[in-house]
Amino acid sequence: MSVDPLPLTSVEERARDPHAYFAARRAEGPVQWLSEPGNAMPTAVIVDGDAVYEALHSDAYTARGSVSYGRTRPIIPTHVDPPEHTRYRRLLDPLMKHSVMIHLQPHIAARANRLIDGFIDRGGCDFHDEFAVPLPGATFLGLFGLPEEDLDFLLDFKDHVMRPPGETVEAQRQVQEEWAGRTEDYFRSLIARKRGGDGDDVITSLTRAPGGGQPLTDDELVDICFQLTLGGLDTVTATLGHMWTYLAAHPERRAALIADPELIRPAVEELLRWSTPVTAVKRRATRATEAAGCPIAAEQPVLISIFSANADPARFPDPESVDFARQPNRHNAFGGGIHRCLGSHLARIELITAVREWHARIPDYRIADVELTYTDASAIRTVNPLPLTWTRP
Amino acid sequence: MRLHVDDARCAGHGLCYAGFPDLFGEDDYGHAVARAGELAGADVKDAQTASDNCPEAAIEIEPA
Repeated sequence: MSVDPLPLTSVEERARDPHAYFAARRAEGPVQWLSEPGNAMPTAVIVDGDAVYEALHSDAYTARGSVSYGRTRPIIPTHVDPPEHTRYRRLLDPLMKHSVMIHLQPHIAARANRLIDGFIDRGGCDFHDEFAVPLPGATFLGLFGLPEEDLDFLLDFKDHVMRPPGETVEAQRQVQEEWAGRTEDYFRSLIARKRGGDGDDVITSLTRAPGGGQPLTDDELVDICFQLTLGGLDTVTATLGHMWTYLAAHPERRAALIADPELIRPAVEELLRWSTPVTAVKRRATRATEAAGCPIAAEQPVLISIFSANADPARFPDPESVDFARQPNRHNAFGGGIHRCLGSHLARIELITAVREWHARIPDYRIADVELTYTDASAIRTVNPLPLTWTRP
Repeated sequence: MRLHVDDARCAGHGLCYAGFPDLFGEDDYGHAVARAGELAGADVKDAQTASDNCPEAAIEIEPA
């Protein structure tokens, strides 16, 4: 067990080449220690695959109080523990399950094509800004039943709350609080408009009194809206970027997907494992525990490194290699256990639809000759910009 | 052989019912429901693949 804190300069390496970074960390030990400004205790970074899996399923950790996003209330359901957590998941899981989310598929396909219409004749695009950001944003318009003109606000709020601009921590906090407040007002007004309506969007469904149970309060509904928005935009954007980065560089793999659309689903799973855009989840120990034999104190901040688990050769032979036929592929890109990503079914539908629609229109493309820039702020690893070029049709 | 899903372990990833809709259904919460009855032929191999890929190790193939 390493007790020397990780140097902060390694953060850039972690974003640029996480496979190499985490291989080095795992070689040093199953748990690493990171000093973070503002924290009295170092953060335990769990990098061993089996220990990550165990931590995801352990009741010794909570996400309560882990990130504020400029608010004092929790986001629901991530920041809640059982038994209240169970109640929220039982209300939300039926609304976010596959057979319900699939109804958004035509909407997603139509938006993908509309975005492609906007740049196909140009013979190039900035994939991040022109496709990867607006596609999940527009999906949320469908999910929440929002008008088109609200898209820019949704994206602005999400950016200001997750990556607040500012020279100091205090300045950033003020931006977050201001935008969180503005967004609270927006969501409250949305909930009031949807309540009692007959729409089939997720907000209207949540305002209906669930059978036999307590109706959700306005506060709880706002907390859920924050969760869905913060959980469903940057994550999908990041995943699309990594998938296209790989596919742009491997024409024969692209051709395989076009020739056999049945391959798209397993290809998406393997690209999720390989890229694991939500690289880690933040927790806090509620009692003294241990990870891979390393003692963890009560109140210790913990970073459960899902990327490292999905890159652990003990779990995935030749982990840096992308193999669409990898068997088995039991990865944790959507987490696991009780906090398994609520939006995972919607995310997969978005990713599969995006792959299919894009490659039907633009089968051949490459990355323009630039060095790609990676960041992993808020533990979401993103490639931005991603300039692509193709022969004009 | 019979297919069994341990609902206490199932977290609703949905890989099984997405990949093998003849063997698994989706319940109200997006958790998996195993098809009842005897598993035979190609179903056995598919069931094993589903089990191997379950991130929660929630799928079991039991002797009848």
